[in-house]
Amino acid sequence: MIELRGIKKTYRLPTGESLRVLDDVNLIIPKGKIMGVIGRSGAGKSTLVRCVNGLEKPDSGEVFLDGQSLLTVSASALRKARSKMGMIFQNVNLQKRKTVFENVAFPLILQGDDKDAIRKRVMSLLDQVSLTDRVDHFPSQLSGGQQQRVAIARALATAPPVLLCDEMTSALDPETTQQILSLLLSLQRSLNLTVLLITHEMAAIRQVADRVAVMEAGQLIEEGSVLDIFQKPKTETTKALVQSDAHLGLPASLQAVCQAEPVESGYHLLNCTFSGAVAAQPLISECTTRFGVALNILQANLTTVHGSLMGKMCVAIELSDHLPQVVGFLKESGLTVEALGYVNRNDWSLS
Amino acid sequence: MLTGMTGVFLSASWDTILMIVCSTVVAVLLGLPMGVFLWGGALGGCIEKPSLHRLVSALVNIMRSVPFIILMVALIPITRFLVGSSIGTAAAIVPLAIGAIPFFARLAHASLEAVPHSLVEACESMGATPWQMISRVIVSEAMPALARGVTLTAVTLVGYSAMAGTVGGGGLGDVAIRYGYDQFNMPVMLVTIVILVILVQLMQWLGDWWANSLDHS
Ligand SMILES: Nc1ncnc2c1ncn2[C@@H]1O[C@H](COP(=O)(O)OP(=O)(O)OP(=O)(O)O)[C@@H](O)[C@H]1O
Ligand SMILES: [Mg+2]
Repeated sequence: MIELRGIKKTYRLPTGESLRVLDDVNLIIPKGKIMGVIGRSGAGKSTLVRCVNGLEKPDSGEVFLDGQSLLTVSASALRKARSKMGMIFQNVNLQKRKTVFENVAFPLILQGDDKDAIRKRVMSLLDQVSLTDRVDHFPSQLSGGQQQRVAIARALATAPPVLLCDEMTSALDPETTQQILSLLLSLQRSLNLTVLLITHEMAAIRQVADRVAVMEAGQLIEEGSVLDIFQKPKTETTKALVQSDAHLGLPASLQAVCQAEPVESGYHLLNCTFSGAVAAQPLISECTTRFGVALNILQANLTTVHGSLMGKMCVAIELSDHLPQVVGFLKESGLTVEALGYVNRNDWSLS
Repeated sequence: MLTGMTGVFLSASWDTILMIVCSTVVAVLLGLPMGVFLWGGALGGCIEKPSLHRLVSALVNIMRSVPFIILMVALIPITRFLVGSSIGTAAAIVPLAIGAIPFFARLAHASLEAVPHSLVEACESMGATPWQMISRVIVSEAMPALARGVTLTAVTLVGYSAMAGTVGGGGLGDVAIRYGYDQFNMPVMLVTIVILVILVQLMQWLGDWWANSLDHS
């Protein structure tokens, strides 16, 4: 388990100004779980992981790895603690002049393991990342995805219980990203790794993370299980991230005419989120038969979040006296309903 | 005008090669550790010693700014002490080597700086000690650039060794001055130049081949 307590970090810029990058960050990463950290560029995510393994010293706060404080230990104890935390970077950081084998063997050589043990371990690692046919290749002879797999094998060489990943898939194409993420997930499962996954891609979080923390301007603004965050995002930033992942969001022309105040005649716009068994229920048609109102689906999206189905849709309901009942029914059926506003009938035809 | 000169050219070439090889070896052996220290000794470096770093850096700059011909004369007492004489091939090696140390140190420094900082951090996060970082990461990754630095040093020393020859250092420079200049023997002068050009070409070719064989990027 990793625990971050009250982490603060301020950079002094060459201009003399100071830049607060981490502002009182508290985070617990439970053993054997994948904790995703997401946020916009410059939010302080990289700085946060770097504080975990001591590449960066926070100004104040504490970092605990299985109860051991990492900020107060000696240099040699820190090195020892680091061998319990593998780290993977966006720009892989392999040694160009070393072969795949030598790169993966490197952390073991640093430890002073004996040759036979290293050979065995490296071959088994390369087997796990399906690179046994590339043992003697140099990094320049590998694709980006293959290089990242070498980096994963290297990070796992010393059998660390913790894996820190900073934007590990950001430089890869969508398909390779999928491969790397499923590799990460299967390794995490089989080795019971505790993972801190830094990313700006909500899709990566949705697919592999157990919990997610959202960062903005150096602060953790939201933390919870992935399903919770996807279904009931609390802050605007999180909502935007979730929406962009589901490719949802009202088009600008519709947004322009959507108002918070009820209108005489027109439509009420709702965002509905549902998960699991709810997805199988024909709720829309039921609304029509029960209340005699038509629900018009404007946008919809169904994905898997952390292994279970989750759907999002944006519906327009024709305004009538039944509106409260319809919304109530939807909520009772297990949907998370968020009111977006009202659109005048006249505006509707315009947009 | 070239009759009977073959032996002179051969032994002069040999002397020049000897001077260059010996002084390059000394320059690399002493300049590389200096370059490593220039790289890692600064504030925030992996073997940080800020005050010693400033001192070494200043020393290198001072030595680099003294013209070679002056350095050679200034070093005569040291040369006498080390080889027992201030003229001849062995005596020329002393100022050549001492002049080349800071030169190579700066080249090595630049080569090491070119290794991406993110790789240094990656290895740091794997628990590398400063010594492991230097020997197994930085110097290893910088090898192609260091090889090019060695070649550049050796080629530069060809010119300086000719300069050393003019003041009694032996080698091809000595031949060019004694026969070519003092006796107005133009053919000897030309042959000397041709030999030097061939020598430099060979060294460059060898150095490029060496560096490329080390490079896997
Ligand atoms: N060494 C440094 N000196 C000064 N400022 C820094 C330094 N490192 C990072 N910063 C600043 O700290 C802020 C947070 O940087 P950080 O790299 O942690 O962001 P990030 O969330 O990882 O962004 P990205 O998604 O782009 O990687 C940025 O504004 C950055 O400019
Ligand atoms: Mg980053």
